[in-house]
Amino acid sequence: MAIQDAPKEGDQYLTLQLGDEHYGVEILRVREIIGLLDITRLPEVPSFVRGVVNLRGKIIPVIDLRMRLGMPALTYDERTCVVVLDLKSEAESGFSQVGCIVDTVNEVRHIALEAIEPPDCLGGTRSEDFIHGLAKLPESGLVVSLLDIDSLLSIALLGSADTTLKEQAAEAV
Amino acid sequence: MGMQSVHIDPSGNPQSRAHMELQPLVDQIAKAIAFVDEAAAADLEVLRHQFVELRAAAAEDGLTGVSDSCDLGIEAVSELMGEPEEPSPWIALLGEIAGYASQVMDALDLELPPDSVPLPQVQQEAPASESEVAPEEAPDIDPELIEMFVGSSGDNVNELEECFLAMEAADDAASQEEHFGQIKRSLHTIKGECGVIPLPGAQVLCHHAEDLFGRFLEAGAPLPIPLLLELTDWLGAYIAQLADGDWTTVPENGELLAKLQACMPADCPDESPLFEEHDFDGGSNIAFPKAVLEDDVRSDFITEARQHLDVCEAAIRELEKRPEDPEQISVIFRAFHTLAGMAGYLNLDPVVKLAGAVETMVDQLRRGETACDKRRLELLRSSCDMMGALTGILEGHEGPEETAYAQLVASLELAISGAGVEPVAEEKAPVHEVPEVDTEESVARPRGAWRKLGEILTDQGLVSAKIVAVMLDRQKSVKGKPLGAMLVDSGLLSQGEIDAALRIQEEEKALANRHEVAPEQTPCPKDPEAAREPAVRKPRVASTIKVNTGRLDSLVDLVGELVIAQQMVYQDPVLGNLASERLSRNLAHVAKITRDMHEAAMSLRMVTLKPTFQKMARLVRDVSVKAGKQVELVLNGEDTELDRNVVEEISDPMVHLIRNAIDHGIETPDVRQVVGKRPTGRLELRAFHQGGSIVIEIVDDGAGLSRERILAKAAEQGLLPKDTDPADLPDAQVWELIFQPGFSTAAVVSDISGRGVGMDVVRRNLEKMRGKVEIVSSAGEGSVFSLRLPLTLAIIDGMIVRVGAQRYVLPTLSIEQSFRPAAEQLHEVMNKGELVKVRDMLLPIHRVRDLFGQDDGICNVQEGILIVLEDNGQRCCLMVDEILGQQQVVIKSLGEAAGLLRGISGGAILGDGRIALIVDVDGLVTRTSKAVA
Repeated sequence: MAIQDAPKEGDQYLTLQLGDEHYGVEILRVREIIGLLDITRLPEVPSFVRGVVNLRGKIIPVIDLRMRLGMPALTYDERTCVVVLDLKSEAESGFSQVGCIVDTVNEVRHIALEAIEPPDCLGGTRSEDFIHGLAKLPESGLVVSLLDIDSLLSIALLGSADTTLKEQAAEAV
Repeated sequence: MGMQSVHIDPSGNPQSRAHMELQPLVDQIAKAIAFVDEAAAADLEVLRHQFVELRAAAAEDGLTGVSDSCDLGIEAVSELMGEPEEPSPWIALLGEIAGYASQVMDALDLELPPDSVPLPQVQQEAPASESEVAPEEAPDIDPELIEMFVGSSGDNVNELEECFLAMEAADDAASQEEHFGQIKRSLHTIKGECGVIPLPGAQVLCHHAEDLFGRFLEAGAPLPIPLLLELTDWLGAYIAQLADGDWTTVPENGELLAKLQACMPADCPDESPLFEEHDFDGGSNIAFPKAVLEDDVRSDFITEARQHLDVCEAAIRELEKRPEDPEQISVIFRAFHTLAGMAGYLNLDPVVKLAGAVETMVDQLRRGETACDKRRLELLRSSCDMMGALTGILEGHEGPEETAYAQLVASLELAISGAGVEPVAEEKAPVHEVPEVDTEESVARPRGAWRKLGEILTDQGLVSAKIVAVMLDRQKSVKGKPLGAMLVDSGLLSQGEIDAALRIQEEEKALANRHEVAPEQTPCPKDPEAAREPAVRKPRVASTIKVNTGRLDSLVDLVGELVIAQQMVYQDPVLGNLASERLSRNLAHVAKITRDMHEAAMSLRMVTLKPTFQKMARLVRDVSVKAGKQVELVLNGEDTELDRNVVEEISDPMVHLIRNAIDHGIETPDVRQVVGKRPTGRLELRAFHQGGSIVIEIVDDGAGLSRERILAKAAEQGLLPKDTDPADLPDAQVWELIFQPGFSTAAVVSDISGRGVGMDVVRRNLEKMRGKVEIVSSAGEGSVFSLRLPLTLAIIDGMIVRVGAQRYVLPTLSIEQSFRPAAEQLHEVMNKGELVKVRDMLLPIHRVRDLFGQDDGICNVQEGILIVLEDNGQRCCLMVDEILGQQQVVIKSLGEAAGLLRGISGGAILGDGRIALIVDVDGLVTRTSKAVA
């Protein structure tokens, strides 16, 4: 199973939604999609780290993607899912799992390389570190932000400071 | 000469005519080449003539390929006539030409076009039979062979290094000899394996090392250990490279090769030829020291000895009729026992040795450990004869031949050790088609402990005895040319076959030599048991199998999940309600099996510290040499076992601490003498279990940590706590300072240590594994660095507690006591909050809900439960809502989130599937005690 850093030639992506915003994640990094499980809280972690869950005997942390991206949180409902992603890590297998709470999951689709543009146009409130491209879907005109999971979700790098990106952006301004 | 196509005369001249004419010519040439003595000009001249003839005939028949190759042949012959330094390529070429010509004949026979046979090529450079820098590896190496090689040779190389280091340190001849044997075997095995795969680059190095080894052994000179260590380093690097998947490049070995070839013991003769014909020293006889011969006691000995021997011979005759008659066996035993005693008293060493050997063998018979077979009877008889001959020396006759004596003793010892099996050779035998030494065969020949090369080849059917005889004949005129080389050069055998035969010979030699080298029997009339030193090596460890670690890990993981799943079933309330005794029994049974399985799986991951310690031994040697210090290394507890993962992680911290100890701790010999210490410093590595943890201590008797220097440096770097007077700081806290990143008191940054990146990394690595570093040091006397680690990373015995909706696990080992406080025990003190009085201690109470940011949970102390945790002398008191129970839990990592958590070291999945957080007691206790202070 080849894990690539940046999409080549076009790749398959899983598209998901947070409110009206569409995001895409490389399908090869998606381990599974599950419904919400019982979450055990963790002390002294950033607020977007909701806690840990027991995934068939393995304990993995879950992150609320909305909160991570600085959007207002929503109450979870029956459509809320958790996307379990493979993050690059120092673990022996090279990957560790993190669950990502999203509003809804849409589809798996191919996105051609040509359709992807670099994210320079963004600027402003969103950090460019974790969006590695913007894709325009030809049939609907929708713009899907392609997420760089490793930089977005690597909790270890964040330290214990409770920052969301909105705050970071606010500080920067 | 390139490939050329051969044109057959289209006029259709029947090939059969060419064939008939040429065939005898070709045959003649082939025979001549086989037997050519390239130093004899006459032979060469004849050959040349034959080539000319063949060339003409072939050209006539349009077989240009053959005629062109005759040109080559003539060229080769001319070269040989000029007596080149390296005749072998030319000889090889001649062989090829002969082969080619024969093949062309065969092709014609089968009516195939002669140009289907590939032409011989001139070799431009000398073949690498004696060692130049090796060419690149053949591209089609079997990956499985490489894998096996990497696995087993890694161990061999480690053993080699161990032996070299031990030889360097050892003084006595006995252990030296043992090491020699081991070194020889290991080198030989590695070389053999290299040959099989093939890895010529390594093989040639090993070969020269073996040669060097032989030279030094013969000369009795001490080995050049640094050079040999270079070799093991090279091998180690090469193996690592192979393990990484790089099979094509060979690390630079030219310099090492040259050194190995050139290194001579001072008084050693020139390098021995590639193949040696070994033979016993013929001719000298056993003799006794003069003093004995003049002793009057000898006449008594003679009489008694003769008597005993007569008795023995009678007994042997009886045994032949009835082999298992215990009475006769006892008779023989008593006889030789007495003989050994008497001879010992007179210091007749050869007699003692022989009698002792016979005694051992007969003892085995007596105790029923072996059977009295024909061979043993024969040996007994020979022994009696030999004993008689030895006695004869005392009577003034000439003693028996040394060779005969040695052979007999060797045979006896083979019989004692039971079929002469070489456990080491068996285990390390490389995979190749050549049959191993047929040990039964070699034992069944008590005379001649090993076969000559010619014999081996004949026995294998590779060559006829006649040819061997011819070759040996020729050998006499060509001085010094080894039989094997001659056979190869003549094209009769391949180098590989010769090598294989030589390997067999080596093994046979090793078997025989091993027994000859066994230490002398100490004469001791009263107690021959003690005098008898076993010639057998220490038995090896139980057989092992190599397993892919990935598989092992996934097995362990699965077993861990099984434990959890089983617990979930076991604790399911529905099952509890069923009240079936049978069901309960079965569930309990499943639980037990699961527990056992878990233990077994856990133990799979346990390895000893031995390899790590050995690595350190090498390190100590290198570092002490570099630092100009003399260090004696003492190892203790290397058999202590740890989880494999822990062992890997602990290596780097240990390296760092040892380097520090030698570099900064232990003083130079001069300084040490000035302060009254032995010039050689002592470094001890100690490992042992202590209360659920494993402790590794690095103890040195050096100068200890310098309080002043540390404080000064800390002040310089602004690391001192602001409001405390440095003089007030207890030692423990001063030592803590060195763990700050960037801290180093080394005045000179050597390339060994002193850059200040070490100690904080050491501590971090240890804490990653829930371990600790502790320092105890005393100025002028030395330091002790203790590394403390959990025995296994995976399981913990814990108490499950509830606070609000959250569950926590407290490691049982850290719990001192738990209780519901009575009102009288509680006190409130201004500025210090709530305190509880426990056994004369006043401890502040910390609510878990506050520590871990929960907003649910009991507030009133009197409604909750207090738990006193203890860690290394420090205590803290926690308040929880309820204690749920005690059980073993499997520690699960919290994944990416783990790095963020203070006070939590992991997670555990409880029976109902929910997650409990495992409290990091050490962190917690430290945190809370700091808060109080």
